[in-house]
Amino acid sequence: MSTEMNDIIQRYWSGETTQDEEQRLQAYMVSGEVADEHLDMVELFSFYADQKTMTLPGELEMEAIYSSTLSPMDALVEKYLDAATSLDEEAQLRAYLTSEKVADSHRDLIPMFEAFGAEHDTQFDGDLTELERLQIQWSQKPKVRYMFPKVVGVAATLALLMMIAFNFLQEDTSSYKGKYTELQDPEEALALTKDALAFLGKKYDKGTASMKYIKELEKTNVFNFKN
Amino acid sequence: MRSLLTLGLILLTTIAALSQSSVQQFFDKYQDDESFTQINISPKMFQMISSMDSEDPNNAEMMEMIGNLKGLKILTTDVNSQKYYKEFNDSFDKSVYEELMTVRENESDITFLVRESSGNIVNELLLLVGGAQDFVLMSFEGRIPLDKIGKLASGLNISGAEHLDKLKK
Repeated sequence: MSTEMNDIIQRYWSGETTQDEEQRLQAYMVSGEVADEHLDMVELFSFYADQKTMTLPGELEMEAIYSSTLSPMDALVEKYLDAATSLDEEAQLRAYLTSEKVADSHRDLIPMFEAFGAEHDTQFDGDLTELERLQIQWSQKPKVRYMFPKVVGVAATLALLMMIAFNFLQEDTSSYKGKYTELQDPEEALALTKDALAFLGKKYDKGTASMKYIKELEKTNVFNFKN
Repeated sequence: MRSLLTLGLILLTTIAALSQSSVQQFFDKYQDDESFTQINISPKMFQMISSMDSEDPNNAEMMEMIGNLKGLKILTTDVNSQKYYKEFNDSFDKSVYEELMTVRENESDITFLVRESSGNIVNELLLLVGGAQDFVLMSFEGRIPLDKIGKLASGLNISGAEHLDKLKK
């Protein structure tokens, strides 16, 4: 018996045991007749004892294995966190999480669902901020929006025309004061040159007249320059 | 040796360009100053004027004078007139410009300067007025017969120097 068990245990460690053998091993371990050299293994086996033996029948898909180890709710939560749930499934999940029978592993999710649940129940009640109201107003009046560029365009054109007209008027009547002007219009240049020459002539006359006066004084010998 | 000559030539032309005209420098100095009014009529503009059909039988002397002009520059201000009058008098190149006469009229100093005169004909005539209110500098370039200038006063329009008035308004 004990040699047979030794053999099985050895193969168990190397993972070569069959299901039957493992069951026998377990039965042996839980029984009171454990050989002294196997006593330290009892603890290990008693830990596994309440767990059902897992079967690995041939080509079972990994997903199936995975989902089989999870409760339906686990699967649903997983799906939910992947954002793959349908609305029905979400409702189901919410019903579960708000119920009393929540598994400990899911308790963390409850606040999240409560928050989203509240959000979900929010109804649009017309309580808008001023900005939102303006945005909606704006989008509901497309006519105003489309006309705006045209109005600006017309205004800009008018302003431009007025500026050009103003400039033309300025050209003739404005002064040269406070700036440098290079005359470009021959008529204007001629008129200004005439005025400038007349101004020059007037001043020149004054100058020569006073010089003539001095000469006259010299002639009368009032000052007797010669002496 | 050749490079030395070239260098000397370049130096000479540079100096010539720099000392082009002390008067021109004065005009340039206040070209962008907003307290000054400056008018320039280019030689090209005088060519256009002389090609214009603007015979004025009542003013033949004036037209003849304008026909011989090559440039007119006017610089005027009503700010610190005495200061600018003095500044110009101190700055103009006395080896180039010769003083023709200085007159004092109604608290205004009027100075006439000429450049390159040969007899009665001068190449440039400067009129400088330094009054209590106004500073005026006019530069007439071309071939200007001095003995004809006195007759120009009669060419003044009845309405007065309306175009010159635009300098001040």
